[in-house]
Amino acid sequence: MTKSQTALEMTRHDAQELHKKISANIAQAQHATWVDVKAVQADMAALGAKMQTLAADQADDVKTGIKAAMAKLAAAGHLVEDKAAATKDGVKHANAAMLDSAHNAAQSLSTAIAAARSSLAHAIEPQKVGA
Amino acid sequence: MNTYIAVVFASDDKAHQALRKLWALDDEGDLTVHGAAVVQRDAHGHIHVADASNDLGMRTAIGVGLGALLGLIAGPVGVAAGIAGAAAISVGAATGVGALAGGALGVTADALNETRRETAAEEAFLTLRHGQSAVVAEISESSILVLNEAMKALGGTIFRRTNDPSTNAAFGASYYNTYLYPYYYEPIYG
Repeated sequence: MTKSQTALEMTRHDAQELHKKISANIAQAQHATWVDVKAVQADMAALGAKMQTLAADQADDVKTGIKAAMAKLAAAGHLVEDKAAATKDGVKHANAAMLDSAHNAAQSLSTAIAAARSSLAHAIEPQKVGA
Repeated sequence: MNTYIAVVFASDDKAHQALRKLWALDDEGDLTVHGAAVVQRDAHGHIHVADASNDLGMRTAIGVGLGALLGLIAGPVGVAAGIAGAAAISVGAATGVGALAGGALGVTADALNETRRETAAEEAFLTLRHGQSAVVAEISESSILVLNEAMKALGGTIFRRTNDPSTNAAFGASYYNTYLYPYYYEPIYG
């Protein structure tokens, strides 16, 4: 396994953990607060930074997917507390947006992993004699 | 190229084992899972997603997206049912999503049963009978043998459909995404 793939897989794991954390916040909807939202936003910022580094080494189509996911992460990361809205509705909206972003991040990273694994498989497959 | 799969099992337990195995294959790098879920068809014919244990045990009735995906995997008749279901749901019958989508697949299954009498290609079409469960997923695989062998060992029947751009054109990109978990989870059964 290449170092690049390992970094991709570790970053996808981060995205998966983020998705789980947000899902847990949604499940405890009655008790979720803006403090929880802001804690997740910090994780999202860290994930976004990792993805930015990884995107540089990817093929163009994969890079496009990662960048789209990063844009969603950034947008959800900048959601701010709406003092005018009902607190529960605001938290619910924020969690939904963050879950969507985490989902997109995990999927774009799995696409990058699949591409990397496919490249590796082609690189190590037996060559035809005389090819 | 990504592939949509449905692996049908006679029991919930086997479907759960298959979900675990699918993600284990991903961990080993033998294939890549983009998202997966366990669905179950109840005694009334409705199809539900077996949610994660941290989702308060809510068994979500499938909506437009996953219904469309199952329809796609089911084959041409299923696609038609999925599109019809999506059109009907889009006019606002939110509370009827589960019943409609489940019904659509029921219709699909019945229609395919008719087809089966006339063709020998039974294995090409997905049917999810009352009481059966299935693992539904989007994966990337370099060889179909890996999944085939793993699921055969668990007694599952695999159905595959290639990710087709025309499907995204019909339903919109990521139309089923929210139902497929991007990691392994402990499914809750009703």
